[in-house]
Amino acid sequence: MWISTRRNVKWPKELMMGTGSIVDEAVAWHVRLQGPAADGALWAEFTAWMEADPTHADAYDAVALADERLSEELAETSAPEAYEPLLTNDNEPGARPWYRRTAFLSIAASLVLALFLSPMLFRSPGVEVISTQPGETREIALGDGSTIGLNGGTTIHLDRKAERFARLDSGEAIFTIKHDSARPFVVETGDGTLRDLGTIFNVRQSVNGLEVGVSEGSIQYDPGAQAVTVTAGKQLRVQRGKSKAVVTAIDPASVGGWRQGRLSYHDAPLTTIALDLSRSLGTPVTVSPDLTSRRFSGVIRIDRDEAKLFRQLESLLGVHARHSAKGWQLTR
Amino acid sequence: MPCRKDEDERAQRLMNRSGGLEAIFMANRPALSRYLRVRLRGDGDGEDILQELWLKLAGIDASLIAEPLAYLYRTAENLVLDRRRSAQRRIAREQEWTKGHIDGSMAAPRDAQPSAERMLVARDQLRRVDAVLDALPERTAFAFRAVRIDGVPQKQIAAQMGISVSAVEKHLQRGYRAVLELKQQLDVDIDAPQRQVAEGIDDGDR
Repeated sequence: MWISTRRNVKWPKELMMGTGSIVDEAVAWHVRLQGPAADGALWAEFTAWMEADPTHADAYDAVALADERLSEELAETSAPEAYEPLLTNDNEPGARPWYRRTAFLSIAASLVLALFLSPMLFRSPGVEVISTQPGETREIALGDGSTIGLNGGTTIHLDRKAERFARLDSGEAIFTIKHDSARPFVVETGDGTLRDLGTIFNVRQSVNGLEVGVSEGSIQYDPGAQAVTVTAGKQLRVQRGKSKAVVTAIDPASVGGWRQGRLSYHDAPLTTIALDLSRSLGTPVTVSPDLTSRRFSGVIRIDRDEAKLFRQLESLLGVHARHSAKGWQLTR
Repeated sequence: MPCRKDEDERAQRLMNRSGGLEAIFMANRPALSRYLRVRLRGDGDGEDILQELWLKLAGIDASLIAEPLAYLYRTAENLVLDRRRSAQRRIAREQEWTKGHIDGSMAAPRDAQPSAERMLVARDQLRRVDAVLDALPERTAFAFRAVRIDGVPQKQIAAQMGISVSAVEKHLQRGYRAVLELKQQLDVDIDAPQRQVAEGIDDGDR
């Protein structure tokens, strides 16, 4: 009987199947309006596109309704969520999250995801994704008294059903963990698993690999036969694609320094520094190819006045900083 | 319209003070109205939706919103979709009622369906979506699932896959196109037996 609600959707003939370039345009608009470039100007452009020909608005309506139906189906099958997602600072109105999840498709999604980024968490309905934009930081308080500080441009998965667990997908986070020897806190990353032994530690995950700094207590990297223990004042680095973990000494006070606007480096490539600056400032910072081998040791103090910051960086790093619409570029 | 005058006064006050979402609304009211007019395709001038949108803005902290104007457009679009959906449900209920009289058996309206049944139906639909996605290239299906189902931002999935946002857009377009075709196909399949029902060939009281 349910099926009967579907029958009053009448698809305009020209929108049925076929290659229909108008439909393709409508789909492209639908995607772009949900993407990072969706600002007021894009919506005005979209208005003009619909005004150009009545079939445009018809095509878009069909696309939006089909997608809306998918949303309904996802909502219908997802367990009622008593827990509000924490992400608010994005393009989407909080009133109707279009990203509603379902255990059903998500499991399928994570299977595919696993092919790309193993080892991977197999998602369950209690999993919540929390993301920060570049330039934005966020503090998350967990039920057990532990806290997680997220630096900009970071995505983390938390599981309501597994309190002592987090997965850092990308970016940087500092964990201040209430130790419980019966229930160790586990952080999963794309380059291995960390287990806390009573700890404050900072984790950075990027495409280049994993970096963990410990300021208090200790953690275990890849618990198991090959476990590496990292104690306070030590830093662990795992380059993606290489199995060996390298542990070096660091100043424990420098761990998680990004929270005070201080970035500390020991022999770090400029590309790493550029990535950190982008994350903290919310402005893209790139490095010209001839500088990629240049390395830096020391502390950079983030000044919110970008022009001033980059003037200082020029002398500190021995580079030129150029500002354009695309952000800052460091050149020789 | 009396409310409009109140609106103007209120907006003026807000603009004088801080200039939040409501001020952005007032400044862009003509553009939003133009959007709604064309988006509704002749089904009203959108003034009622603008009113509704205005009412929704009270109590929203504008500082939490990165692109306030895009947010206003998106909220207006959601109101359009709400309206489209409830209109569809109303037509469905009316057809149900008429059909009940023809058959001599009153069918339960969809809204009265037990939620367990609705969930099974939705699951069945999602299974079909899943099958359609499985038939797409692996990376296309991955991008679509991550963005549309898991809500990963496009930018982030671009970084994760090591491609540009516009390349992610291409994957998403293919995914949406496939889902759209599936939904249209389902409607066609479903239309046929329904016409038979109208002709009196029913398989009994479901």
